[in-house]
Amino acid sequence: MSIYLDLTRAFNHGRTRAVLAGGQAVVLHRLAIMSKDGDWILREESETMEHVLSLLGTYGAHYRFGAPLDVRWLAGGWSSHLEFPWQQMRVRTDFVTRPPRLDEEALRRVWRNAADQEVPFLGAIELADMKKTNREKDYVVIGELARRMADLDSQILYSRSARDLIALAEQHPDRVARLAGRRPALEAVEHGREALEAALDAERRQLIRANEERLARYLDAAKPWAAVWPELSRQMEGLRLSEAHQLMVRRADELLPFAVPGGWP
Amino acid sequence: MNELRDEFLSEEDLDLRSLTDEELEAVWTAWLYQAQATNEEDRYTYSHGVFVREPVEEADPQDSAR
Repeated sequence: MSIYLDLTRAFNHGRTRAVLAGGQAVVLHRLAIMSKDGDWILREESETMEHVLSLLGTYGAHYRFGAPLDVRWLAGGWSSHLEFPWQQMRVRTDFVTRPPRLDEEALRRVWRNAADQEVPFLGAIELADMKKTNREKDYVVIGELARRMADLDSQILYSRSARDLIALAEQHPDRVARLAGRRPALEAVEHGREALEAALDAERRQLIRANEERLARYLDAAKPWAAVWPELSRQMEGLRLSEAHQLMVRRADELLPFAVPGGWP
Repeated sequence: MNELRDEFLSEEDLDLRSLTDEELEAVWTAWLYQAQATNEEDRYTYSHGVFVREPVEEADPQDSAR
């Protein structure tokens, strides 16, 4: 049994609280196995935080450097990171409530879809938006996800294949022209494959830079927190997770701002 | 002649579609165990969220000299 399926079921015991995202959601889309860490979107509610912390406490989890699992920080786009050993495996559990590039409307769609799933995992469109990171390998996943999207507009908006887009434009020229307002790279379709490939490459580099700039804002805001982390981490060693969490919150209250201007979405 | 298409993932990756749920879980778990081999090299790095690297204290030069 996959630990990530087990954890997702346990996080959602009794009600929907967590949606599996990232690389493990890519596995559930049956695209590829390419990540060993788990990544969830949580409901932005105190009950969810308490449930998840309590469950991870039973696994003997400890905090990694990150924000406390507390809605005040997660609402500002921060992420929380915990880790535990399990059957000769290092299991990492990463959490956000405000995933990058998903706005309020997209988040409402995520929770609507999750309500019908036994193991909630992120749908292709939202997963593709989250995958617009600064890692090249994520654009490979977006390219394949786009081919699985049922909706034609989404295929046109997310495809990373010049050949696919040219074929789509031949079949649906008006639709591609209309969507160019939302995705400027589509304007290159009429100039042929080479021009479109160049436009897709430029689009990818632009997305990579945008994510780097977003991360830089958080890294800058977390500098005072990073400075005390080695000492705080030592103080939390050996504490139960609930006690370590309380200590972490007390210190973070002084050193980690709740919100980061320009940080989310 | 088969038409070429832009390829993103290998045939091996995409073959996950042909697996039963049980086979997928077995392959997935086996992959996760195999991936533990890189735990030491990614000990301080992150694959999700807004943090990039765990801050660690500079090693005491006297410790490394011992």
